[in-house]
Amino acid sequence: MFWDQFVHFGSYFLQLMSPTNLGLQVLGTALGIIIGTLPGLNATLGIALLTPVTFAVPTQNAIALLMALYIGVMFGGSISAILINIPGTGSAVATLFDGYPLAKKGLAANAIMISRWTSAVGTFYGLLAFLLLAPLLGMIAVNFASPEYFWLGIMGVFVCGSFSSPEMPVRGWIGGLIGMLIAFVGIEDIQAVPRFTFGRPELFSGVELISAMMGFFGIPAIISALSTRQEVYAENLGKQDIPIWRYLRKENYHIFRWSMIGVWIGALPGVGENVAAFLAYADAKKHHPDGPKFGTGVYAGVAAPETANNSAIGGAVLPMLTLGVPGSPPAAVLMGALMLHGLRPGPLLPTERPEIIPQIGATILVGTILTVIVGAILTKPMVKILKIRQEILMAIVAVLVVIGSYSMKTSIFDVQVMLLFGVIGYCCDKLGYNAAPIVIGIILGSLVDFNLRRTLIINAGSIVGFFNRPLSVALICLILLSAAGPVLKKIRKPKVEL
Amino acid sequence: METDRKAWYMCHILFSIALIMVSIYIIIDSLKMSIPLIEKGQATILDMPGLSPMICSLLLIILSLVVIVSAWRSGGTLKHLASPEVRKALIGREAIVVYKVFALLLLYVYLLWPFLPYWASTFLFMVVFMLSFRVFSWKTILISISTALLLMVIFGNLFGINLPK
Repeated sequence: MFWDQFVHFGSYFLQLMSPTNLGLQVLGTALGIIIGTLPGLNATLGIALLTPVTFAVPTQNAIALLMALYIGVMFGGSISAILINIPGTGSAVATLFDGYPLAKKGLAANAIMISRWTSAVGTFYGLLAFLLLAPLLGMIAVNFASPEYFWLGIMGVFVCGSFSSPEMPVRGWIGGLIGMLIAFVGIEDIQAVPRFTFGRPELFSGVELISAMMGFFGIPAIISALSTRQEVYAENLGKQDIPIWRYLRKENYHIFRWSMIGVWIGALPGVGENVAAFLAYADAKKHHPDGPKFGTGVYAGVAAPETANNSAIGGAVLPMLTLGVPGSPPAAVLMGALMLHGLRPGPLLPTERPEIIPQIGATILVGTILTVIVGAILTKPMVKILKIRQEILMAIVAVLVVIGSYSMKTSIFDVQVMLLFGVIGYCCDKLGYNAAPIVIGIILGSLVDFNLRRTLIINAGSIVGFFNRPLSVALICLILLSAAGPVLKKIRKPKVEL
Repeated sequence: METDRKAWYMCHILFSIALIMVSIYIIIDSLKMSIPLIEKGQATILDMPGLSPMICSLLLIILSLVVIVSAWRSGGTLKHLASPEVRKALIGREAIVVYKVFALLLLYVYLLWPFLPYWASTFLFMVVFMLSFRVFSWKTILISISTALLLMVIFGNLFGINLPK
């Protein structure tokens, strides 16, 4: 099993070395770094914006382009975090705690180089975890039946809700339920009855996911960028003089540790790279010899979050492909893009399309290498790009968001959906409802609905069918464990705050 | 600061009330779509199309009530509807940006697209967008033209999408 995978992996890696594939991955990496560097844009929006563009290319090229962008964004966010004290993406918030102080000391070039290399190493460890665990998870998932799919969907929404709003998980769960209700729009699977379509044929196949995501993330990003008028002053890069190989060798144990944190957190449904980065930073502060100096400008304070947010990619893609449960919002939109290309992420994917997992593994490896090379080339131009006025950038983003949602089905209705979700996304953003549970709810809602009803039918209405299988019990225990944390925290903390 | 927080709790109460109203509508609609099928024998309670939406809506009502109670206990009440913070949220700087962005997008899609070729409507939209946020120079004209033409070539020619006219 592993040998076959290794052979496929090697074969696809060589295919990716063709000029077309390599060119697309370079383009994807470059776009990802640019999107990641620009504050307000993120991997989720980047993947959503690029998805319509991938319709013109074969599936293999589309995967290469989107994965390269995903990896590039995670590194790109650190550039603005280090240079201008504003994170380019949510996953780079922890990077600025030590990144910007390093830049003020004239060590920005070193900090960015460490970010670039630890991002690459983290992605590589994430890739190893992905390749090793995917077949094993696939073997377990083949035994899944309707009850397990149901609990998997519930777990995805529940865990994501709990982690995304730790101070008040109820808000996260509300977000998940809103997402699920949105997923129920359209013709349902068992009796083919239209639900909540208001007689609009455009809604029979449900809400167009990519258009909705463009509105949900793109419009609030535009508004936020235009509302905060800030003078952007980018610190000088300084000289790049740290011996990087010596540094990586010296920190090898810690980098591996932060990578495993990233993989584990990335694999949790809907949690994602942002949380992974914070947890790795917190772990480094506690366990690294330079921990007491964190916040004053130490390289480990940059290396930890950047390693974890990139290794989380392998973790997030793992359940997305093998179980059909995305590990992060970017993975959720990536899943939507793969479905548009005719792939069905989930337990049947390794059987139906055995080449996909090694193929994605190969693209991650190439993306890792390109992050180092393209990242080194683009660092200086990024300093200039950061000085472009937000009004100009957001005008371009606005146009992309509109034409992107229109091009999904060449339909004005999808643009209307995009605008509506823009309003919803803005309201959720202002009220502090995290977007991740809503996105996960939209992805998993149909899975939960179909398997709930199917299980009840198979068991003639008895709910025992949900509880009498070992895998179901295991999933229920995981759900209860994820609920226990926030509940215990609330019991210890007497005051309830929103 | 204290009134800021109370106004914020009030927003949560309003949002939760809206969610409850939507949930009630969903429950009613779910029953409306399911009962005829059950009466005809084409579905049972176990597999009726409205089952999952009803369950989700019921859970949403319960959780929204939790949020309302929590917000009320933290000091949020509907009397803060008239507070200066709410007025600021509706007519302040960020609110103006929100109205501008949506107005410009609606103008672009509903007034420019139907009457102008794509490249022209995109160019005009970008110029007006940047002007409305007080950015205008020969550079912005150049960027607007380049973006419009590039998108037309990429989406229209390269990907063969019928661009809006």
